[in-house]
Amino acid sequence: MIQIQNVTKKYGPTIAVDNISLEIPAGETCCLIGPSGCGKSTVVKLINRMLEPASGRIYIDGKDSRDFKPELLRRHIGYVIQNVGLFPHMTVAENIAVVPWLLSWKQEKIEERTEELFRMMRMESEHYRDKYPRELSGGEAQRIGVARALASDPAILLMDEPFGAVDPLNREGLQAEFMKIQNDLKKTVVFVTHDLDEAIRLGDRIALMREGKIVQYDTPEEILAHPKNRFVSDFVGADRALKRLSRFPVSEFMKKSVAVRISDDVDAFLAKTRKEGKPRFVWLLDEHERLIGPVDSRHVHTPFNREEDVMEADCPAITVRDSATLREVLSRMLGQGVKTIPVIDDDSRLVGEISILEIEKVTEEAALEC
Amino acid sequence: MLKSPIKTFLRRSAGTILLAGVFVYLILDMNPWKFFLRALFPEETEWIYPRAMLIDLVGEHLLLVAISSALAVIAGIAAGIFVTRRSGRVYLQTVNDLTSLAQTFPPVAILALTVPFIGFGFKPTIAALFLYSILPVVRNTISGIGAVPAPLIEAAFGMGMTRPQILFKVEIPLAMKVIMAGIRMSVVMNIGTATLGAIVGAGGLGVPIISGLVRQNQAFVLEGALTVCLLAVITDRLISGIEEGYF
Amino acid sequence: MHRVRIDRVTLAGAVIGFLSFGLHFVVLRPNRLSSGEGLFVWNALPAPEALLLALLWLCALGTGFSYRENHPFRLAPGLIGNVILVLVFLLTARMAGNTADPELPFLRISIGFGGWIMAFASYILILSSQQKLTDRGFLRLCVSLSGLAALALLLASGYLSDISVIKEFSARQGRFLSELSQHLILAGSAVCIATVIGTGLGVWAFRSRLLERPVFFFVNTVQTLPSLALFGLMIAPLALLSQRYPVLRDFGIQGIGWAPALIALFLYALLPITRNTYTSLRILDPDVIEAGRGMGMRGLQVLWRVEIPLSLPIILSGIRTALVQSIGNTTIAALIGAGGLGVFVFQGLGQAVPDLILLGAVPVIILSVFTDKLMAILIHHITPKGIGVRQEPAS
Repeated sequence: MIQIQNVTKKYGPTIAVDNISLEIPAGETCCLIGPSGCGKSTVVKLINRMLEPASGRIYIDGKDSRDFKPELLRRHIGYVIQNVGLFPHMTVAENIAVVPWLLSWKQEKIEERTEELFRMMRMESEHYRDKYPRELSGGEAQRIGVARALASDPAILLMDEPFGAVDPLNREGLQAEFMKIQNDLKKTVVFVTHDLDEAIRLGDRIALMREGKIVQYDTPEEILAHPKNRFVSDFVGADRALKRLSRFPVSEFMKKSVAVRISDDVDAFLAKTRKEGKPRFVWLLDEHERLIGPVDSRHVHTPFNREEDVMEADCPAITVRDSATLREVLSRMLGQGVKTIPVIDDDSRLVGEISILEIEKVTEEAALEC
Repeated sequence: MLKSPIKTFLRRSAGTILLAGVFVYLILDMNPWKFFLRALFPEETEWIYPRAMLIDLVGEHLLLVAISSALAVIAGIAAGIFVTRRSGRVYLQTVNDLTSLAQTFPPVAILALTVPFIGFGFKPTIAALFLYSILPVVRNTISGIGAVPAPLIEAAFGMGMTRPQILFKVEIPLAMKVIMAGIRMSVVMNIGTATLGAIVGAGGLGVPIISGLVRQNQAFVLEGALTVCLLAVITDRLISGIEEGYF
Repeated sequence: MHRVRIDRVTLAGAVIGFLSFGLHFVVLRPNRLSSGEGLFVWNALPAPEALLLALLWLCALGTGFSYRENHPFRLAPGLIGNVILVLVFLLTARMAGNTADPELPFLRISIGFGGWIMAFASYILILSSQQKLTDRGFLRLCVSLSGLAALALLLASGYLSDISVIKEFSARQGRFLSELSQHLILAGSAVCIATVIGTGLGVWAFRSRLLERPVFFFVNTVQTLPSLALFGLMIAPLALLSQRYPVLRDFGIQGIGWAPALIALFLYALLPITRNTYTSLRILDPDVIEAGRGMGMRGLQVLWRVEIPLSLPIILSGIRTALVQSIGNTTIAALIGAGGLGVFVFQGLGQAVPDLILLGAVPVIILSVFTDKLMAILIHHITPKGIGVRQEPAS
């Protein structure tokens, strides 16, 4: 856990960080966000003593950070920056091994740990370990940067706009991976970002800063539901209700769907459904349970004709992945003019469906203040 | 990991190694010289510089260059590192200005000017050679280390490297290519300037050239000139090979 | 309120300046040949003058210890440095003028090692001011040049004529001037020819991928050759040629002389010019040329209004290097009978007359530095605003 107590940092007459106090419980992700110049990067650098405070103290796991030599402290804190900072003259494996080397780990232990990290990042070790940073794409480099920060298995991870320089498509993937890893490892993470959506998605708590002070420090739901003042509500934007939806993963709210495999007796199934009256739409799956498309049980040919009776579900706009949030679901619904969206997994298999009713239920239960 | 730089080095330097082989042969065996020079200058009476063996002259020359360059490289890199550290940064601009000014001085002038102050002979020449060949090493060390991007240094700090560790594990390896280029420039220039050392009594391959000019004996001139040219080209290629094979 | 801090550079200069007091300020020689006896500042100069120097250095030291960020303090080291620089020469000349010994009619007095170190230290003070005056161009120029301008004036009006090297010069003024012009003509012509051919080679190498390798292989190799050796190598072929075609001798082309020197100098000057021409074409953004064509410029207009303004600074930079190098190499050409200021250098070395060496070496240095700075100013003015000419990569 990290305790920041009454810390101030000045650059000459300018106050970068103004008497802030912050407590980040162990295992939580705290996102620091705010307009540029608000001091968020400075806070991070104060934690690992790249900068020294003018006043105040920082306690890490109960111990004053000043009790340690700066180098030693930093070797036990993972640090990821926006420009990655991978050493161009070292291979990927050598880059990852830097902090363990600084900590005088034995070579076998370093090898083991490197393999473990490759697995964690879902990157093939043989393919990547001897490559040089210039041979990696932006997203790959970033993942190696994170792996490098985790190499010594630090309890704390400091990330300063780590995904800022990555294109939006890759960024999404990186964020999802980060959440998975964080779920497993439960590190104490301080994550600086200027992207509110990213903060809402990744943060257990968000600290919104302005001109060196913390304006509000709360869970994302709280900040969205109850912004403390005009600045906060302006910052989160008028669409905060929509933003809130991105806190709700679709996998928690979807319901079971009625589906039939094409290899089964489709006609009989459709007949039964017609007799029961509902549901009207039924999902057609292939032999491997992959979604083909919806079938209107009231308007089918007998015998069932695949060509004419199914709206093929190739278009991704009509489906949503199980890793998505309710926000994407709503977006699809509005975009396609439909009220129900099927949920598929990585292999395109149908795992459930979600309708506008579920979303309404969620929003009713947590009404926002005006 | 160590094999590939050596392999590339060998492959690229094949021509140079061949040349070096020829060179070594020519220093040891004077017969090809006699044959070649006699054919070119039939009217001369002597073709090989009599007062010293070619191999001794080469040895003198190499000694001049080796000592002064070794000192220059050590001092130059040290100075370059010093002015890029926190404590030495105040002097960076001054050192840059001084070295760029000094590099416009012709090396022959520097050599000639040290004589009235330090005297004739081997040691004063080494001093003059040292003074001049230190310049490209310092400049390239400064520019090489200066080219290391700041985010890299920041990341290194953030990972918990101490300043000396950053210098040796990050800054120097990344600056090595540029520093090597500076060393190459310095050594090759040194070989050229050391040729003039003959005029101030330092010996070396300039001796037969000067003697030939004075006595109007082209054969002597060619003996010295060809040898020192070969030496310069081979050294240049060898160090280039190290430069490229390095990465 | 400005903070007081320590100005390390000025301090370094002041320390060196003080150390120079421990070395010989002037050297007395009974005649131009024999080795001399050195005198320290307090022995060589009358008390008031020696004290003046000491006082000036103390001021410099003081400025170094209590530096403030305002104009007087920024100018101070430079001012003190310029004054000291002029004084070193002036006081030596005065001392030489006042020291007349009937027993030593050929007495020669020159600046000693200590005097030169003091001059060097004063230059560090000047540099120190230069660095701080980044925003005030005019003041900066004053600081850089006032000392040198004063020295030039003193030299021209004869105030420095008692320093031995000047005496040496007066004794052979005619010869000096003729060798000086020979030096300039040789170096200048070599660079001119190299410019014409070098730019052509550079363009050719750029256009034809096939030619690129051999061209650069050739010019790079030539650069590594020791100049004395290349001069020497040029003699034999030219000697043979002039033997076979005696008509060449009428033009002055023979084994030794200006001809082999010119060819060798030309070959050396090729690399910087060829390489820079090639580079300037390489870095020309093809989009910029596209834009020019798109706006309706004809080929020649594109050349004149776009390509040349963009590549000229870099090519000129190559010419600058070639010029400075050539001035230095021409000095060596004296050894193969081509004349030039090297004549004095080598005569001095051969006869062990230090003043002769100085008479040759110092003007060569002044020429080199002057040409370099002049070209730098030219390039600065020719560079279109908004573009920086990168320093030539050192390799």
